[in-house]
Amino acid sequence: MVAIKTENLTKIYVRKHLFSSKKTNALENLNLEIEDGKVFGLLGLNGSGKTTLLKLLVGLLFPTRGSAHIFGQRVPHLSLLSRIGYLPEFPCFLMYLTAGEILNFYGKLYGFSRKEREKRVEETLDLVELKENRNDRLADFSKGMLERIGMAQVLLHDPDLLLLDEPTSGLDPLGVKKLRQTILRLKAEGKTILLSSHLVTEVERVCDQVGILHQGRLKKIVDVKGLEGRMEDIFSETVSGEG
Amino acid sequence: MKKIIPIIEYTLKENIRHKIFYTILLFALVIIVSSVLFSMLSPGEETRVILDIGLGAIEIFAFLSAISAAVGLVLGEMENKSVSLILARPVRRFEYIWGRYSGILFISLINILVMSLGLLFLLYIKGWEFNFRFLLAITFIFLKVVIISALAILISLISTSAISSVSGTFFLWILGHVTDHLKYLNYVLVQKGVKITIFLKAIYYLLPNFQYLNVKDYMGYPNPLAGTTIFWQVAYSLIYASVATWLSVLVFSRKEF
Repeated sequence: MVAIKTENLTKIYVRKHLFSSKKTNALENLNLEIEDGKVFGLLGLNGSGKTTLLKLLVGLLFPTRGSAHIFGQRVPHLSLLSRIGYLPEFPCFLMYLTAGEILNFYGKLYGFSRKEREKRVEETLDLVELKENRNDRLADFSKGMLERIGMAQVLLHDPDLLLLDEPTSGLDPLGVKKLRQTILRLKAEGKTILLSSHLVTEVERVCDQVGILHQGRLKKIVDVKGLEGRMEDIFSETVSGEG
Repeated sequence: MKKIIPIIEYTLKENIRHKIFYTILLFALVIIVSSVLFSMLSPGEETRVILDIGLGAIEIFAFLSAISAAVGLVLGEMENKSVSLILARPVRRFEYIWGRYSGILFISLINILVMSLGLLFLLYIKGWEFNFRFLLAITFIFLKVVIISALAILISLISTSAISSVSGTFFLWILGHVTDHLKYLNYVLVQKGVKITIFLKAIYYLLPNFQYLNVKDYMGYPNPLAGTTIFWQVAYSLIYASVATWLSVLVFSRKEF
């Protein structure tokens, strides 16, 4: 079964000035299929369109042309959002709330009962090792702790599809290792994961397939199995070859 | 619709934990209490002076509280992108806007009630006899806040910075109190043969008419306000605010994050 399918998905940003407008092609005619239960990595330089793609899938951006389908439903669709966990590159929270309160708030947005919310908040805080900090305000959290809260809000509703935008940014090496373990555990549970990253080696370690995006175009899809550490070379060749 | 309630709750929580909320409240109470000093300048008219200064302070600080909440929360959340973590969940955009708006109204109501109790306490000490019009004046201050909060959200969604949002809302607040002068201006211009009546009329009807809701200015008048007048004033406020909020929904629905 196909989890994500895009057809000629295009996003052009138009910045309007007083008497002129500037167009930037962030994503051009993207045709992509990601199978259910797979971990798909998006590799690309800054501005290659990785974040744009994730935002289009979650409905934060609207496509200029083309379409995207998740689990057979055209995006954006409200009911789909209950099945998606989204982690932005720099997750920003309401700093006046505590870790428990923010997750409880998100839980309410999914319509969970009080009992269900309590259980899920407890479980996810435990999962990201922030159970002790449940009543601490997010304003007092370190960058790494905020990243973990970011991951907690992704896992809170047990989504079928995880969209992770640079999940390793802000994490220390131990944090990166734990995140890798979490992704592998989720993969074993049958979740579909689409993650964007700069870290070639990290992507190679957890992904089944990798798509290389360059200047808004999908240049190559690579099966990671059997690559044996050649991902970095493939990425460099693909990107530098295009200049 | 279910999602509106958690958004209201979270707006309240956020506001109550914000220092500015207490600062505004404290300033208002200081002004209200200091009205006792001013009342000493008008022997025999003490309660009237306290009432005038008190109600004026309640209105100004309720306005400041509403504008800081509307601009700070809505624009702030868009600027720091924390809104994307809400919209990535099954929340309709209209639910977000109406939730935020209702939360701001709630917090303004709390603010107004606290300030009113402070003023009533002062008046009680001074031996003022309770008048039903006091409640009416407070209600109409709240109705002004209902309108200006809706406009503040709309301006926050259109403008690009907190300064332009605040100044835009402030500008509308001032204009809303002088719309009646537009009628006079129109009269003068027609006399001089300048025909921009349609333009002036359009502006007159588009701008909020806060003067229409200025019940507190008539506290000392002997005749009570007619029931039908009150009905139309309330209807005007609610319709105006609803239209402004739905316009905000329209703008917000097209926004990308």
